[in-house]
Amino acid sequence: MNIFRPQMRMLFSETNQDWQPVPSWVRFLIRLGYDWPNGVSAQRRIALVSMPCDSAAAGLIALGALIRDLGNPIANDVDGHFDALLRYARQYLESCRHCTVSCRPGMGSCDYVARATGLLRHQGRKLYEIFTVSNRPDIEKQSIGCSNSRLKLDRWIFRRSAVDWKIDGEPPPQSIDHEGALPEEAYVRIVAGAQIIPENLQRSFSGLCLAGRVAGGTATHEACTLIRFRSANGDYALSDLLTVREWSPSNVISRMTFFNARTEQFDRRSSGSALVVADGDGGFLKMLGRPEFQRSDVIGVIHRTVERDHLEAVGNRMLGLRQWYAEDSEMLSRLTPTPRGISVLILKRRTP
Amino acid sequence: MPVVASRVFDFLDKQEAGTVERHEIASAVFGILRRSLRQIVLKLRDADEEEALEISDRLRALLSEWLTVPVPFDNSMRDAVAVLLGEAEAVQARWGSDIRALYDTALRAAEGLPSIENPVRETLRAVICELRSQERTFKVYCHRRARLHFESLFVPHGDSPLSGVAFLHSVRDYRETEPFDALIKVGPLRTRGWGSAPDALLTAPRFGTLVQVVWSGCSDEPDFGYDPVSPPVDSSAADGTAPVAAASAGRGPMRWIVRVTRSGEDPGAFPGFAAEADELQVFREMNQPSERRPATLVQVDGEHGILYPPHSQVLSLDPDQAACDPIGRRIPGETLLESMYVIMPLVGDVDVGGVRAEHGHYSKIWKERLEKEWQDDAVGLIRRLHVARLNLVHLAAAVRHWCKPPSTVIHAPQQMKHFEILLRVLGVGSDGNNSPRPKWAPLWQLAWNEVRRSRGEAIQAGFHEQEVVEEQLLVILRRLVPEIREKALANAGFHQAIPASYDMKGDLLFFKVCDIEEGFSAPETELKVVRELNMIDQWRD
Repeated sequence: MNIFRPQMRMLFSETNQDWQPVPSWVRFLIRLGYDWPNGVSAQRRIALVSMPCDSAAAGLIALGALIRDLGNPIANDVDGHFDALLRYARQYLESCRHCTVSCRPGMGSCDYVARATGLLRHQGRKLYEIFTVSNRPDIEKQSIGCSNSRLKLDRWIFRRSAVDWKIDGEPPPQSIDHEGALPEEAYVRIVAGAQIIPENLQRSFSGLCLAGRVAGGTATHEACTLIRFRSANGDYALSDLLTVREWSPSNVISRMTFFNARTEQFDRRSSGSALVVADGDGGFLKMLGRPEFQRSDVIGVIHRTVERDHLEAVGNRMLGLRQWYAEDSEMLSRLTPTPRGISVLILKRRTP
Repeated sequence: MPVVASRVFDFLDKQEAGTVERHEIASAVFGILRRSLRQIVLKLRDADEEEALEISDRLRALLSEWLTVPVPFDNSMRDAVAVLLGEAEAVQARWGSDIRALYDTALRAAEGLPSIENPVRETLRAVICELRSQERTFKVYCHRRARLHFESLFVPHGDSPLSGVAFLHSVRDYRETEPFDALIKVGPLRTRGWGSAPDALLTAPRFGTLVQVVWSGCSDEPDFGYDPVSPPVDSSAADGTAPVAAASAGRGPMRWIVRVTRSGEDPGAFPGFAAEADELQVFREMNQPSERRPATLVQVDGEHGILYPPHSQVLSLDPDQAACDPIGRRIPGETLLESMYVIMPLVGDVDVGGVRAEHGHYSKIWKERLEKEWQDDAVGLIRRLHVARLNLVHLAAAVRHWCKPPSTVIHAPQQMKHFEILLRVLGVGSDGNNSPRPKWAPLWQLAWNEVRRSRGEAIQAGFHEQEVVEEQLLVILRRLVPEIREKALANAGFHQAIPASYDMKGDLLFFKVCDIEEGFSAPETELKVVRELNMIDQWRD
């Protein structure tokens, strides 16, 4: 099926080369992400996509998955935002505020994935420090007390008003006054027929994760910067379309989290991703070992122009997984035709 | 800079299947040399004697090189064997008549080689001329040190030489090359060791035709062309008898058509001559003892390198002014790259008596004496060393080597007991004509420490954990960055003394990284120290 509407043809450019129709390898990868089963499935899947050269393939797959999520009514951070603030506040009040240990979350010093500084920002502007949490059993009356003077309690955050607040340094659950809303026309032209829920274009989402290369987050970013799409309304770099928060100062909302495989740090706290796209063999192996992703689907993207040891490390890991996973031939058959040079393996857990 | 992905896919789209043109070459004379050396290697391997094992390893490296590099057939081949094994009578006295007989046969075959042109070189010349006449773009995949043998192919023949861009030496070179017409490769397709090449040659081709020139009997590794997604399909290409055979093989996601052309004298057709065996395979199986670890070579100049276990975090310097973290621990081949510097800390050295030897301080004393003795009476010196039980068979060549002035390292015997004998025979340290030193420390011991230090071996007064030392060093090094960067501008290795204001005392050696290569398997004692490349070659898989 041709996924691009001929009458609204999107053009493609890589490394500032001439504009051309979107090539088949790019369409294939975007489609792979788009067609990936939505939400946390009963049976976990792990895929390996093997490329003949270094490329932004992981970013393209992540873009497809992002477009898929734009059409999912529950794929947003708004619904669970107050609960996330509560968790954050409790972590700060019960642990991080008193902690004297050099902070290395995720490295065994504590069970948290990131340090809670206790700072919340209201409507993107004023900064408050968490003061207290009311522990009332009535959910609607639970609240977080905070202060901007460090002396007295100034504000209470309730469930109904929580979307005006965000954890400092993280994207807001939704944009304020449509600021930073995502360009719908870019996404619908990249995957023709994609159903997009307009509200999602203004809402952040943390259920999709892109894991960068072990060489560092900038390596993945640079690869994605070199890919551009053009429609009648403008040019879009892949790195911008992915809405990774730290990649662009103009990213107000973010539709995916980013895991820096070198520093092993997330760009924000999230309660778990349904799908992780890992860039490179090192990033892929790290993601498979992370406890946060033990239930997530993982798509690893490697290229074959690396040393044999790296290939074998990945191959042995996949071989080990086969004890518990079987080839998902049904899903593989839906992927055809695979462009020459790309090979794909999808494993599906035998039991839920 | 990696090649544009769309260009690679465009290229692959146009390729229904790639072609492997495999030229299998046989030579009766070279075959005799191969077979004799192979048997010597195997027999010496069984000897329960350290030096026999060393000679076996060196012969193995020699033969492996000849099988994977288009060396010219000349007298150097005979000399190389003779230098390793020495006098035929001595060989017989030491290891028996069967090895002596093999040695004699090998020498006779090697003596006959200069009368013929190496057929591998002839074939390569023909292949390259044909590619040029067809105006097809081509590249050569070879080890960096094999390059000169390709470049010399056309020297006496008047054709234009191979240009610099025609060579690929590493997976990184390959990754960054644009698609072209043909790739030339000498030797079988192996993932590690002599003649190794990236699996990507078959799984991610940037060329339409692979021209492979191999000695008969040398087989490709069955799993070469590995893709973690689709394990390789074992396929035999030729039927073994036809001069030209064709087959289609699926390897990874690509398809290849293999055409085999055989030429030369098949030793198996002569009475009394067996068909060629695959020495590279035999040696690989032989070289797999469990006490060895996989290792990556970081080459630090034209003659020296350091082996590191996989995924080592190597203390290193990135001299790039733009580098935000110039001092750090890096993984060879991943984050430690060419033109960076490996840093070897020599801290807390046993400083027996407070005099710290500079690089080459004591070596000047004993090397001057050695040089003089060699000039005055080389035969007498060798005899005295033998009497003192310095029983290296190729002792004369070794002594000449030890006479060389210090470069990256101080050239000296590999073992302490040999070094002690050498200095005792030379009388160094016993004539009172030496520089100030502690009375309770023999000079040979100080000189040996100096040799070890030059190899980057930690000589420490306790059981300092290297990593703990490096943690403290990182702090010091980061403060010294401006000074270190200035020294790195000279573009070569250098020393940096730790300033006296710090608690830690010692020296820092900076070795510039020239090349990084995987595919070694070495004992623990050979890791993380500077060694000569010809010694390191024996640890290739």
